Amino acid sequence: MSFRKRGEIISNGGKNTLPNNRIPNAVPGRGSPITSSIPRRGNIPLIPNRGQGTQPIPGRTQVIPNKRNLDLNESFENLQIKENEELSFKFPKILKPSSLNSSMTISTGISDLDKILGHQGGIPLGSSLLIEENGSTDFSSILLKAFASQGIIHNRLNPQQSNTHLVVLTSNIQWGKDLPGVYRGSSRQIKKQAIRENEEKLSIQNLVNKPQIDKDLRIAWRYGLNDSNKREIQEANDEIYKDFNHQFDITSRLNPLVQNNEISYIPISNNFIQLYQQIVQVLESQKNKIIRLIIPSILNPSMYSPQLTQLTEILPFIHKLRSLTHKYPQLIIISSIPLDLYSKSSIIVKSMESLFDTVIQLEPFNQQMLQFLERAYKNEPNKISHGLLHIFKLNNQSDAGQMLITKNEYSFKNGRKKFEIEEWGIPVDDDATTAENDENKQTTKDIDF
Amino acid sequence: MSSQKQDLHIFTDNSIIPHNQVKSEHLFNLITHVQGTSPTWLLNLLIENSLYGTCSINTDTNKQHRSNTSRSSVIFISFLNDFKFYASSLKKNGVEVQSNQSFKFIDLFTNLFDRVVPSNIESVSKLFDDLTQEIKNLSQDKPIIFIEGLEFLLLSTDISSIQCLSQLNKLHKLSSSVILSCQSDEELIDIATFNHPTHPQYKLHDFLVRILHRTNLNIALRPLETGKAKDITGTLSISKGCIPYESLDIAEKEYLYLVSKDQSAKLFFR
Amino acid sequence: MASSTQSSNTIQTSSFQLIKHINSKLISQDNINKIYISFETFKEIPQYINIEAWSIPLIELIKKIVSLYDSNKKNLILIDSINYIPLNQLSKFISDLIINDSITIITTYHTSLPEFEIPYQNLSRYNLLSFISSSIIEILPNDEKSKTLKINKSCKDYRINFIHKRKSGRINSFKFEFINDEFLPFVESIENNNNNEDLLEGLTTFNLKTSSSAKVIKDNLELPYMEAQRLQESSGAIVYQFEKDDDYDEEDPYEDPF
Repeated sequence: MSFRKRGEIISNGGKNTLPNNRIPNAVPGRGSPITSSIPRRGNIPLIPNRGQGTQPIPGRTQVIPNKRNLDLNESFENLQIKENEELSFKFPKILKPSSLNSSMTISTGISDLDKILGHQGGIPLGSSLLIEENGSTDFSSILLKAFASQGIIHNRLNPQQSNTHLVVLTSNIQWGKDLPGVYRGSSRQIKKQAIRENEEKLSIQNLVNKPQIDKDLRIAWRYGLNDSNKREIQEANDEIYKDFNHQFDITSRLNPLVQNNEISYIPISNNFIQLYQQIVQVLESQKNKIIRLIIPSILNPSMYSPQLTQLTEILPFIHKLRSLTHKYPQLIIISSIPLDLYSKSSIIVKSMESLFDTVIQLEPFNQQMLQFLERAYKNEPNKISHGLLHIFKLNNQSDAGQMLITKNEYSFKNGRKKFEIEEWGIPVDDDATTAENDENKQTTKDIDF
Repeated sequence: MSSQKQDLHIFTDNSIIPHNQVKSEHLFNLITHVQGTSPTWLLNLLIENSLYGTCSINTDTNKQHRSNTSRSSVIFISFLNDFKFYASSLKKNGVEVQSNQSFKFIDLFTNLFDRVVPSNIESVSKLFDDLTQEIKNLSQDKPIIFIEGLEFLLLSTDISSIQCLSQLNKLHKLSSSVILSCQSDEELIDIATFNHPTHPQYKLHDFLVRILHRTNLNIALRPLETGKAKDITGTLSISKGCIPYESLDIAEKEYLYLVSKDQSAKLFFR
Repeated sequence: MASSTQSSNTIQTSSFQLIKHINSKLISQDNINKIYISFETFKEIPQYINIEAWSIPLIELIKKIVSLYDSNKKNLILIDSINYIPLNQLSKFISDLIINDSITIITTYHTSLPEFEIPYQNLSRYNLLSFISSSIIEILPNDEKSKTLKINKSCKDYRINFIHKRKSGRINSFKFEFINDEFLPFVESIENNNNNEDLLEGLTTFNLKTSSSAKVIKDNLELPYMEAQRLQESSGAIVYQFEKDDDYDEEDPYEDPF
């Protein structure tokens, strides 16, 4: 027994034992607890459970699965949960259980997109996402690239064990060269981050301080009870899932660049059967990893020969891909399709939609609308959206029978540091309203007279 | 059995799936749906009703009460989903199908295109011959056959609507009743601009109308015309087919229904 | 009598009941050799020779049917739907079946099925069938607003157009309304419709038409009996009884009562 300084860190989680030199771009400290917890298992006396689970904070990670365990006393569900536990053991910190069902989800790389998918996580493993886009803009590629970057960042969390592999169906082998890097924040934010990290470390001071903070925050006792519970879970979640998703800066590049062992390019041949076989080959060789299969601009005539656009060619291919997501539960497929080439009302799009688990559409505003928005948000240029986002199908929920087609409810905005999706509201044109107000005043005056 | 209760009734005697008395008829029922109104919940319900005669909609009956004796055997053929998908959702309704002798799931989703070559009509025919054999081996009793996503096979292969129907006939003959679930979005059956028999739209349109001429019962699931609503998923309408049931009368009706987040369904009279 | 009767129907109005009705009339008649060819139904009809045609190639089907003819009786072929015969083989199919005068074909043609145009022949299935057949019964919904493929309520009220080509070359046509499972005569004959004037166009050397101005005057002209009608609001029924001069044959369903 010895005295400790108030600010001394009791358990540093091995942060300094394994300096993460290979990933200079990653946010400092992220990811390293796992690396160290495995070799140091059993040596840390503070948390007795540690010896059994290899998860960094076993007591906490299991909170959610265990709860589900009690609720659903059913073997089938149990089986699923066991699978999930294995998964989250295999891929620590990057998976979140879905709030809707027993599947595990992974981030798409865009946190707002993760949100609208409805699982309070990301996109479920073993599912597929179709992004349709109108016009000649290329917002969907930003989504695809963030999706790819997220995979690479996950893959580099633990240098000893890679967990993700990218598969891209494209003839352009430069595709991975310009994946965005992690957003590091403005200099002020970086500073704040450092302070927060310091607070998060388990020190005597923090232990003493924490309960007090809690008390201060208690507003009413009724809410307070809930609040503290929620906060606890929230905090626990934040800790467990802090590597769940990252924010990407489209002006920066992943550093180091994507390595050849992280990505497989499958060139588009004029034969879907061959293409499919190549995909299966990669899947087989990367069996223990999460596979992010990316299909940029499917059926784009500059890559796909015209005969492939026949329903009898493309539908069997998509159908096979769909069945792959069931055969390989660690596979996620994301694809974009240009709606200017294949209209939304065409049978090819409609029938493809029925084979994808999740379908969203990006509809960029036209020039007129953008000008109107610029006028309306003269003083707040960051409020200008770039287009509408429509949802047509959401994973698990649509197939179960829920009607989730939401049009014109969300708008998207592509910024340097973030692709934002928010609820859409038509802005009020100030000029118009003031004019109207004047008129109203005029009339009321008249009446008063 | 009060008629006031909001519950699903397909026939005027308040039943859902007719039982023994119609075993001699080869009944044909069609469920059409569009994007946004997936019929999974309804199929689950009909499976449950075919197996046990119960219906866990609008009622919170104890979910473990299902007896082991089932009324008739059920075969579910799916081109779009695997067994796991249905097993878990049926489980929620309290129907155990994993070790159920009366329920057989035939998965034509997972390896469909290992068995079928889109340009080869013979391979489709072979697929159905195999199916027929499989069903024959399964039960002496005439089963109720559910088929999901057949329209997908029609669209993705070179078979014509008539060829597809005669394949369907093979299964139909073996069954006491066929329940076919089919997607019928307008985009899929638009023949205003696509009016040649090789157009997939024409094929599906032709297929659907031919089926409508031989059905006993049509059920349509459609979203509300006003779009998404928090408390209503869509409408369920029940109408007579071209061929009447001999022993029963269909209660033609339109319901509103709601599938909530936990995937339970509720029906309301309109 | 070599003839073929055709009934056409839409999704809302099925010919099923009508065919059933015809069957119930025919079933007791032993002097008819009845063959039922099914493409879309599985139900066998008693006292018929039932053939499931969907699994048989067309040429073999024709051979099979022809081999089933009974030369000592009238032969009736009932086909549940003629839509399953490819258009280019349709006329051959029918002419191969009608090998002599003893054969009658009754078939249903679904009009709601999409029909594509053949570029050069320009002959639709419906035209072809109407030309071949001797009687046509059209079953149509009473409200034709829902022409799109919508599966809502099936139609209860529908009307039947009955067109019969007589050997004399004269065409009789009748209209019926079908309400609550009973036939009600609706309009007796199409011939006395309003288009009489147009029919005469080009056939006469003098003007039979009333000009629009003349029509207005004619409509406004108050005839003396208008007043009488107003006096007696309660309508009177016209009771008609057959007299011995009225030669009405109940046995002949095609007899024109007028």
